[in-house]
Amino acid sequence: MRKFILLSFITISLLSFHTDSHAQCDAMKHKDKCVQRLADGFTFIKSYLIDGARANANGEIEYSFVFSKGTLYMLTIADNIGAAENIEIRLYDPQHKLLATNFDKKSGKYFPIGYPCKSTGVHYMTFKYNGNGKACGLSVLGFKR
Amino acid sequence: MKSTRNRESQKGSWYSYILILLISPVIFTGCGGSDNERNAKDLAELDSINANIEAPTIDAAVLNGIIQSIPSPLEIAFLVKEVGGEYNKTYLNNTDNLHKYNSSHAKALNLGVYGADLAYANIFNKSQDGLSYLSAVTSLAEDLSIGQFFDANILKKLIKHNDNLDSLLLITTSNFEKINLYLQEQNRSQLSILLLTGGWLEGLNLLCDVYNKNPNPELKERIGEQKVVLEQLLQLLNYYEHDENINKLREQLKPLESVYKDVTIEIVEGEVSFEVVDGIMQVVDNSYSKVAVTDEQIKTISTSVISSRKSIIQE
Repeated sequence: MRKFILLSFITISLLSFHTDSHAQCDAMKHKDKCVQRLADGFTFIKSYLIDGARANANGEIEYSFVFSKGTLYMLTIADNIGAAENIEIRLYDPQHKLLATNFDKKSGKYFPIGYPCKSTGVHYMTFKYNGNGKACGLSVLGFKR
Repeated sequence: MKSTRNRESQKGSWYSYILILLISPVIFTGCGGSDNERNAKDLAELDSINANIEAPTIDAAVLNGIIQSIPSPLEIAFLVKEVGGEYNKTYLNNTDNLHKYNSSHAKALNLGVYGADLAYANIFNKSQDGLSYLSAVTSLAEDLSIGQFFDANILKKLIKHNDNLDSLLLITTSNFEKINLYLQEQNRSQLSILLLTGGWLEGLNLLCDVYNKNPNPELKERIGEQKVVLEQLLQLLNYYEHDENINKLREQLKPLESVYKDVTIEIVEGEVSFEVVDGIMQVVDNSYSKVAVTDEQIKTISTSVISSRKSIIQE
């Protein structure tokens, strides 16, 4: 009977641990790193959690934001271990025309995106996790006048 | 006979084991669910505005996506400072009005208003006013059971010492972001929408006040462009059309909606390219937007903002 109770307890614990670890993406802990990656003079305005659980069929997570003409914006990233890699951002204008991606095919590296906005409107950003392991990361948006 | 009984007893134990395994996730998730329900119930009791609201029928992700797209009044405060506007306390909502906000609806709207005023005072390094607005913000947040997101002691130190604006803005913006996410998680998105509407309206009022004192083509264009944000906010408010208070707010914004209908924003298409420069993927976009807004429309926007704001701040 004791063995049975112990076995039940272990199984239940494992089940609940599995559920938790699967559900949580705690990339918010990398927010400071993302903010530090903004260039000098940029002010933080938004953070975007890149949680694989929210991804669409293409594995992308989409957010939108009203960008304002005359403002310089910057987007930085941190993956599940805080590194500035493994997350591909695609930035689109209000007509859904691709403006940029942060992934440089030539070097195979990821860079922060700097965008001097000339068209006020709702812009769209998609984030795709290209790393190994759990699809979890963070992106931060900063602005500068 | 004994071994048969043992086998049956063992079989019974295994049946019990399997039964426990089957029902344990139900028990666990069920317990979590009732905690959440209790929590939601408590919060609903705190929120008078929750009392008679039908939940919106749209996907929560769509609603939250639009909420996320609303810009911060911080950008407007920076713009105002950049174009040479001097600090003017009379543009802001007096903290003496705080006692007038008794309902959750009024508290959430004015949390947004005072949040925008706090950003404005901080950017101009007005410590004393910053502390008054911080106090108003924390008081309203506590009344709405979201006070845990403001560490008033840290913020007070940063405001008083006046030497680390970046940290101050980072912490306050992060606090408001956490509040919005928390309210969405708690199915209290309508409070988030009110908070954002209040903040946006205060920012627009600030733009109009500064423009009226010192007409400037850039400010004029920025005022015209607020059409985009208003459209986003109206989408959000429309989701809660069954909420009497939100409907009232929607009515208060009608004059603004009406004048902005005739403001046009045209996009002139151009080539786009991007390349790595000094470690940054720089976008070069030759497209630009052109806003057609007349002086007469700016005047109407300005008077409509004053009128809507008066109802909200109860002055």
